[in-house]
Amino acid sequence: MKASDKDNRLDLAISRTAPRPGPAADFGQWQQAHPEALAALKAGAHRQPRSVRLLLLTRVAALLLLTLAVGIAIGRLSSKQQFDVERLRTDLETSLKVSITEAVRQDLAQEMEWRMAQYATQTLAASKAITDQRISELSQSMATARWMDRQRVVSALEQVEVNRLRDAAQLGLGLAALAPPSNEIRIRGTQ
Amino acid sequence: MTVVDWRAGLDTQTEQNLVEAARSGCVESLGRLYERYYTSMVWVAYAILLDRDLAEDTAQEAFARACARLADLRHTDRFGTWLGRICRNEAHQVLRGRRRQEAAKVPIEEEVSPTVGSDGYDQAVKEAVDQLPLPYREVVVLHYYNDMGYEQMHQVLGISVDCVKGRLSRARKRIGTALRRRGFD
Repeated sequence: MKASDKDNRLDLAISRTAPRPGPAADFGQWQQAHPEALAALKAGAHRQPRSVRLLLLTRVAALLLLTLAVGIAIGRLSSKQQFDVERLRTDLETSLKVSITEAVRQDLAQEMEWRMAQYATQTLAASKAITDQRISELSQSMATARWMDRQRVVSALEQVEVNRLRDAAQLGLGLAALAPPSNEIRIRGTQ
Repeated sequence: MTVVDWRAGLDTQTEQNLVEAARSGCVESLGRLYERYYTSMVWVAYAILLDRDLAEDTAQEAFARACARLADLRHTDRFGTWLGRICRNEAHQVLRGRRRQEAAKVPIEEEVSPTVGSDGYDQAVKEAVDQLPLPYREVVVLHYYNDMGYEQMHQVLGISVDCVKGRLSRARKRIGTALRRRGFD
């Protein structure tokens, strides 16, 4: 037997296995058997789709939540009850002791390392600033010293000039005093 | 009694209009959809239950459920797929209920055995079809019992046309293998 003949035989055999007679739709009978379904259909015709209903529901829920939050906030703010600070502190301590785990400790260690590094950097920067200030002060001192030296040199030169002028004047006077006798000697020699 | 073949059906646009009209409360439109899809739904349920009467009840129940949820259907162009899913869920629920009830009894009531083929070939084919895994049995039942094409099966089962073709081909191979094991060449 050929392959196509086999296939045809199989196809026909499968079709023959279908229960007979086949099903037939009878909407009238279904309507009578399911009046509640038709009622639901007619009720659903006036109902909004589920997506719209969900949106509305979400909005209502959000509004309720907001109202609740506002109510709690108002209640807290308007409460006349005094705070028990000591009890609050004790509670906080206990809570912190319980809640600090190994991970938190590691985080703290890392935080500390980072802080130390920051501190070292800042210290180095501050040290550099102080050094710069000292160098600047030294430079100013040297400049001042240099200026004072110059002043001293100027005074000395002035003194020298004054001395020179005084010497020159004395020399002039000496020469003037010496001139008449010399002239008399020259006349006598001529005579 | 009105009998309408699903192939005498409607284009997508008309079907969408019918779905829209039905969910506005138009019973006549619902009737046309019912007539269009009833047979397919019976075979979808049959593939799971392997019981004609139960399959018909299940298909009718699926329509009733679909009526109640029609307002929630988002894509009116996928009514067939949506209805098929409701029907399959319904059939699985029925199957679970029946298994619980008949746990100690004969598992499934046998359909009337085919009389054609005195050598037992048709009986062997029937058993091979019934023993197929569900995804394969669904396409075999819809294709051979309801004369549905690939495109229609794609619409009702919600799987691609290529997937339908692949399943049908593998189902035939499995049936062939089962028949060879029983000595039918």
